[in-house]
Amino acid sequence: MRRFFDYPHARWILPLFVLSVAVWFVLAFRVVRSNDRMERIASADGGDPVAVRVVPGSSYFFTWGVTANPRSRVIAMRSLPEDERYGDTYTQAHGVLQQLTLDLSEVGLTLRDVAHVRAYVVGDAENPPDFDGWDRAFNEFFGTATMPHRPARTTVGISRLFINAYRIEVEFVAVIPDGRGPFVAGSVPAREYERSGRTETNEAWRSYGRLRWPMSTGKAVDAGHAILFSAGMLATPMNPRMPEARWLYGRVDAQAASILRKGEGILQEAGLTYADVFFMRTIMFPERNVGIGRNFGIFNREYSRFLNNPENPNKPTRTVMSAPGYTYRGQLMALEMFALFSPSNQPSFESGPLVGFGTGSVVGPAAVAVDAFAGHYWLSGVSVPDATGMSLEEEYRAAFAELEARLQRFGAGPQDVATLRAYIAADVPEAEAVAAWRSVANEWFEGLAPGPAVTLMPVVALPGGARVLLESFAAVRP
Amino acid sequence: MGRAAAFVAPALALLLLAASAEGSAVAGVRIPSETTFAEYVDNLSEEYSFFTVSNLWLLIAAAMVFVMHTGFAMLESGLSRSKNTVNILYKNFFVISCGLVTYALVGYNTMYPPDTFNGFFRMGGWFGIDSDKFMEVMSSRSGNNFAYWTDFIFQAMFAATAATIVSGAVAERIKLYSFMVFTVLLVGLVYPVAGSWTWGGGWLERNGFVDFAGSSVVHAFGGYAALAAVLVLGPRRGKYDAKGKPKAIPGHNLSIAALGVFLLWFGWYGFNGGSVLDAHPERVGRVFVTTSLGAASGAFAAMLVTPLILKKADLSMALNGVLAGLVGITASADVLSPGAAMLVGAISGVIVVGSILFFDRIGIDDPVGAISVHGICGTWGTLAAGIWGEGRLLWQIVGCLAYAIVAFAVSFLLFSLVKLIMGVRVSAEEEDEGLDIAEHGQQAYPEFTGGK
Repeated sequence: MRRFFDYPHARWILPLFVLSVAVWFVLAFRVVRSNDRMERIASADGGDPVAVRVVPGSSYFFTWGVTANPRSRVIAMRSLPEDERYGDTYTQAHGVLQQLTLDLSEVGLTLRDVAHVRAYVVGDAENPPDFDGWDRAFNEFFGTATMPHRPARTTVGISRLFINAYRIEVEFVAVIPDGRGPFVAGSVPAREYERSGRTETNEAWRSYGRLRWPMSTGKAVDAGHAILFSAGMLATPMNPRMPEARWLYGRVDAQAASILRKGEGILQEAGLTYADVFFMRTIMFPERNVGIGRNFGIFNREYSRFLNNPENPNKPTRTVMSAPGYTYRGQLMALEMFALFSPSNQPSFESGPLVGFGTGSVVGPAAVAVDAFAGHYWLSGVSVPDATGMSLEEEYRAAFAELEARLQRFGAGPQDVATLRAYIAADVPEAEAVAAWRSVANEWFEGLAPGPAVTLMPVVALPGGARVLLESFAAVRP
Repeated sequence: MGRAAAFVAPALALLLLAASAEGSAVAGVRIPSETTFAEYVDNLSEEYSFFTVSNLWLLIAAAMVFVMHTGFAMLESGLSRSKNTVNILYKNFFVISCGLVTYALVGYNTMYPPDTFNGFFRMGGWFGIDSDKFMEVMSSRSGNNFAYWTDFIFQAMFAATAATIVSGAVAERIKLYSFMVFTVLLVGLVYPVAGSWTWGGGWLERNGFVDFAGSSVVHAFGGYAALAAVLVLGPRRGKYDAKGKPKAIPGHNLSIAALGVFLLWFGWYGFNGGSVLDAHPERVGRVFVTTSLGAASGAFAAMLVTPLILKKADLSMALNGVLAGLVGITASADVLSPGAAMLVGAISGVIVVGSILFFDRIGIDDPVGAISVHGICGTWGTLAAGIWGEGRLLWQIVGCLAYAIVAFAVSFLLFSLVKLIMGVRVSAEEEDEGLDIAEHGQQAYPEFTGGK
């Protein structure tokens, strides 16, 4: 019988092949680890980490809230009903994560550089948010064999997004590692950015996205600049002396103007202007018989009086969504913003890495400045694992206790928390839930100086049926 | 009168029917009332002209990639002996036809999964349109600057390229039908799956692996598949003497080979230039410049190095130098500076000369140098994208190793299977007589060779 192989050096083939597979394996799974400016504080169950620690003095990349593109090719290939244009939560999450991968690559980053992922999943009483679909898609992108990285993650259920068919919106906070990204002179992202010919109102950041849009789709923020995080801002009553009533806050245009003016005041107090704001999150509360699109259009008109105009061409990166909110009080929207200090005008961080400004709408300061040279901790959302039999207040208290336990994992405590977003889902009326939350939070905030910037956001539902989820960001002096 | 009416009435009815059918077809393509902001902007008229121009450029580029198949056929036939010319031309026509058909049947939707994708494998099906709501994928509303049809045909031309690379390496001794079976499997199943890892949003793309127009995805994939095939197939008769020393088997028509390389060089402007995926003036211009400089420096380097090693200015080495430069520049043609492009091309030109001589010496008989040109230089180009381009070197290494390993291992398995089932090699007599007579009963140059 003839030999299968008619090759003189056949004995080398297998060893060489095995060697290259071994090299590939070692590189793909061992050597090529995640971003060295990040460190995961793993959770006991191997799921989302407790927190991601970011090394002091790191550059960040903040993305906008990305929603799905229509599944054009599926629609074209076979006839689909109009309401399946975007697919279910799982399918949309795929499209969104794919889009975010592309957005990151424009800055020279990959999914390995993501520190925190925030997902808003749409649902209501009849169709609860499909958290499993989101988890399934997330687990195909993160925590896989070839992408072992798992960022901190917060998932909440909201009532709607810009288009009714959108099921999910996702935001990333990514950390730019040394030697990469648009701040490295001569690098490909730096050259590509220069070619885009953008004018920035602040030299310390780089904006991405279409030039014509009133917003940017991502901001790379240079290292060494303190960041101001605002609390959730609500409209001020038109007449503060009147007893609280639904009509006191006015229509959506009046509320938008009121909030933006309030924001201007907070910025002023910190020595900043709207030219220094790089991120904005708009939460529209549903108004009966009025689409979010219309109210958002009205907000955009007010927005253009302060930003994206000839005096202030700044275009912050933005996220917009609709959540249940404080409609019982006639309030129609809330706004959060992040702004950047220049090293020369930043507040003095002598007494600690956090400096508070003003008084927030709920509890705590209106804004908190965070030292760039502190260790930053992005925590995963915290909820009570098993709250059966607990009253609302007990569950809220247990959630705060769980948050403290998590903070202790890296030697921090409540005094180190810079921002706190409390998502409350309640089977009781919002007013009652908000009141219960306030009483618990007031206890917890007792004696904290300055205390975190707080956003209280009533939501549709939370993963695992929890009634409260606390998302926080902490800064600790190294 | 009655007879005239008998003609006119049905004709009118037909006309009406046609008009109403057309009307309903047009009415069926409704633009949904809900538009995103992005869609709104895309509908502005300037966007539309840019869409039209970009789409046209991609179609031209697709046609230019098609011309590359002429180049491959001419190069392969020119560098082999006249007695196998018909066989080579036959194989090349088969490869392009098979590439297009399999890509339509399964390839396109496997390589570019339409909605969800786990990052490793998702089998796709027929690419065609079966819905009246297709305007979105045919217009700028898709968010792309090309219509669906255009994207399909451009990518299908690429798919066929990967298979044609193997054809050159196994020339002059492979059984025609074994080659056909192997090609169908390789280009129909393996290439789209491997391609989806980088271009369909798969695990390599998620890790930041970059390959602009396919140094690894297309060329190295084809090159290492060819290596596996050649190892299983063995060298041509008379290539190595009893002591295993290689002997040169000169090609029969270097004019045709040179023409092939000129056509390949021309087609490569479509291959790389079209991969910009729109007609962005600066980007397409830059890609043309880097592609030209890569090819030219590859040739230049090969022309400098060859006389030093072989003592004579060997034309086939110069031709391979051009191709090596082109393959090398393909992974990063969109981002390199002209200087870096020349460096990448020149290094490719040097590598290819050494590599061809090396493979020749260790008993791997590759008539056209496809393994060196596409495999080795493809890998080098991908690494160069990590050194001077936007990729990161470690992940570029992971990516090109992944392509080399998968292309080699899967082709090895498939080709061995084909060998066990139907055999891959013609008999010694048939090989000596030439495949033209043995397999086809035809000669390419009957008058010149006197029937032999």
